[in-house]
Amino acid sequence: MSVAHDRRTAHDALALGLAGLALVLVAALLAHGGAVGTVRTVVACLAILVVPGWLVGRLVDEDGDAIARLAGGTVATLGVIALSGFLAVELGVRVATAAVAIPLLVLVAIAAVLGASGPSVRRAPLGPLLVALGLGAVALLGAWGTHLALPAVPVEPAFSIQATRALVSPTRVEVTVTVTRVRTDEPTELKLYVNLPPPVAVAVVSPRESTVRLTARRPAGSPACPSEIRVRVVASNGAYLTPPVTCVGG
Amino acid sequence: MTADAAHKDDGPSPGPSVRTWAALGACFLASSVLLALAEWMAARGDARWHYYVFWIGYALAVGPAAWHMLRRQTPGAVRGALVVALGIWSLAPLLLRTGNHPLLFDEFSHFRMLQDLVRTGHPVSRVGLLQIGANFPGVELVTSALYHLSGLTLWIAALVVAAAAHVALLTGIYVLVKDAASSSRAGALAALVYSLNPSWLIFDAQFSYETLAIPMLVWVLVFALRGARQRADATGARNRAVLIGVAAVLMAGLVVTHSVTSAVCALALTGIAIVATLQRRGILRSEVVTSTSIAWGVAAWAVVITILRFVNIGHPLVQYLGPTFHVSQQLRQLLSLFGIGKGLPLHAAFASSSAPGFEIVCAYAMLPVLGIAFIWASWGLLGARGRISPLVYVAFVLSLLFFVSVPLDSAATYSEAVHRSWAFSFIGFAVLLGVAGGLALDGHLAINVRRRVLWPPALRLRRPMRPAIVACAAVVAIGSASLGSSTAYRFGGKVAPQTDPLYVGTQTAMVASWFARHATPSDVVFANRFVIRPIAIASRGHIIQPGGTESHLILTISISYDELFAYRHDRVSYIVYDRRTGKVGNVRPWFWYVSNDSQLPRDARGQHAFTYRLGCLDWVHAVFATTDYQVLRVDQGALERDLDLGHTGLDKRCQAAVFHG
Repeated sequence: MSVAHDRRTAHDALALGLAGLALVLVAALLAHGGAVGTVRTVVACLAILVVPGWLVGRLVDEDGDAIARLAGGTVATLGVIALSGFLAVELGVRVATAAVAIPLLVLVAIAAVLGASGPSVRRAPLGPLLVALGLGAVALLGAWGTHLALPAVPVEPAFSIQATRALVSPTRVEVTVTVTRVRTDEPTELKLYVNLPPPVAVAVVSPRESTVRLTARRPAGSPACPSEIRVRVVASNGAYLTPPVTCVGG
Repeated sequence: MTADAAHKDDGPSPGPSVRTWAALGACFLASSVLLALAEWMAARGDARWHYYVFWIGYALAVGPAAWHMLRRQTPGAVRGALVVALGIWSLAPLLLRTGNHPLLFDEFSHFRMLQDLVRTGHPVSRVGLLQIGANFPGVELVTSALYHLSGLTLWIAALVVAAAAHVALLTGIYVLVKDAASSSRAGALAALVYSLNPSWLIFDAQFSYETLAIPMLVWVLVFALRGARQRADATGARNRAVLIGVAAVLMAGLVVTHSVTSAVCALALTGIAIVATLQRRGILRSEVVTSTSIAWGVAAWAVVITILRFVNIGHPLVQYLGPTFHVSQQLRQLLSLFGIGKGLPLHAAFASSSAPGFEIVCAYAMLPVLGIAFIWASWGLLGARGRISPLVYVAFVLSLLFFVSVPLDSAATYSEAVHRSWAFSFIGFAVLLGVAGGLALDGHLAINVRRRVLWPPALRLRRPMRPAIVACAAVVAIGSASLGSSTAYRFGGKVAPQTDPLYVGTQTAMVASWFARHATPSDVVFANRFVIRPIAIASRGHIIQPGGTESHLILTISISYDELFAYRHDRVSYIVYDRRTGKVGNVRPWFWYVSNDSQLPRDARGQHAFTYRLGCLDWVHAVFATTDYQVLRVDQGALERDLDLGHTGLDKRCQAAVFHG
């Protein structure tokens, strides 16, 4: 290979720099969602993880090693983003799209100008890098594909009960309990207590029931409502609810 | 050797054939299939065989890749490609484990910080999750940048950043040693050694600040050493300026990313400057020419900005790192090993671990293996000290610290910090063994005792030595993975309370989902150190430190008003607890995260928990419950009334009735 072909010239750095600037601007201006959102994602990944890294990398790599160039340049770019973000915070600037895009644009511009004004650098063949990415992609897609192909692992069986309030009238106590289940028949039974045992109502919960209404006559001699009345729903495994009491009527 | 000499093994030579690449691809595919299978088997409750499946999968990828990387005929560019491929492959175990949401302890903390950063536009620390987080927001700033610009979901953006950093780390080690030894073969060997680091497969691949900071450290060293390399021409001077500039900016980025890593980097650069000076003055014999002024300049910059950052943060940093860097305690533990004084409370490396016997054996066997490798490399390089880079001396110290840290691993207080330090120690091992191994592979390493030649070994010993070296590497790989992360981190399994990350399951999802629907940004949540994490990322509420005064309400024998005042002062609006606390297995009071027992009142240091009290207080209402968790809403008005009247609000008749089941 001749020296002329083995060396990259100033034009390459400028062209890549312009591409980098365009990518950052496009990523910052495109909308979220849909096909445009997908384009934005690809463009932004190139704008953050590839192009500035390559431009910086070619400044600090003399061996023409594409892998070292990209990896080193990308870490340096991430360092610049971390630092500029931190400075933005220190200056009281909100970290959002502009606070990211402007430092990236400056970085790309500086790297492109330095690259264009400096000596030509050795050409870095992309073949090994593409092979590495291919092997890595095979590994990750293989793992992910197998994960999806295998039967789902059974999740932890569990249930939940919820009650936002207990309605207490001069004669009745009423609590509506919402039940959800994941692979379980619990709770098989809910007991309603007013202040102290024994329970004033017991409801057997069928496996498909999602709302259970517990009602009972208000015990004789129960204290003033609502400050001293305490309503409690206890499931068969000890899970309990003590919802706030709302007094109605009387 | 000098790094600016052309890499001696990088000459044009045909790379592997298409058939070889296809075979490597098939190995990587088979490996990843087996890794997925191992995770699936473990998640379904397998107790034994998934370990074997995992290690066969591991060997299928690492074995062929290592063989190609270390062959003499392999071109340098192909070695680099294989390092990157290995870096990408090594993401699979953690990606299979975590899936599409945060799972590990630190991931939850950093993810909540990321959410806060994206919502508010500035870093926010949650004392209950990561008290020092907002002072080192580098990884969150980078991830939020990707999120804002790309429109990716927050978690995918986090995964992309962690993955890029993880791959860049192994590549950085490769380049660092390739430069130091002028050999891509040495670089590839170093990358392989680093991939045996106990934290490599899981801990340093997670979304956490170390995952970004450690590659930053390695690349600062790469750029700084390249910049300090002696050159004469004008082009060299210009490139040097660029390299130093990039190293300086990256160092500044590192300082806002992670505390300990920036300190290690500053110390490593200082060490390099000292060695370069000693070499320059002839105190250390060397043919390597390193610019001392540049080495000192970069080191001074690193030290100054690290100190400035630390001073700027001040007390919170001392409070956070203080217990870990309590030198007198560390000395006490080390002296106790020699029978001098009493040691600290002990931590058993594999207590109640479900790791199979062969992994535990390898974990212990790797220590002598690493010891022998360390002595061999140091001894061998001693003979070649005239040709080695200043980096190698720093690597020697880093490796030596591994052996110093091992006794501290047995102390419960230091165990976690020691494990985290191994990511740095293995940079030392990678450089030392990479450079020495590179020389040995090229037949340039000699170890002589008087007139007896110990290395290179006699011809008749060379053939049996190869499988022995492979076996040693396998012992370190297995032992390291086993020692580096608990089995619960490595594989899924049945949901278990107080086991990170196996506590995450249907119930934590139910509780987190309830908070996502009901909690407001002004709500304040107090929960144990485990369930608080899924809640923290599902809702926007404030988080109370699980080991704060509030926990005493559950842990002390009698209720004091201090605890009630804490609930009022911190405006706690929800309490979440696990009804199994203090009842089942080893669910102990420190479920509530008390890092230092002395912080607890004396009567709270037992193994008892009084969680049932919470069901009998008139200022809390149980509004949601799952099979084992209770969510209680605090009525601040009622609490205030009780405090005004001098009551605790505890209904003793209720307590006597033992409603808690």
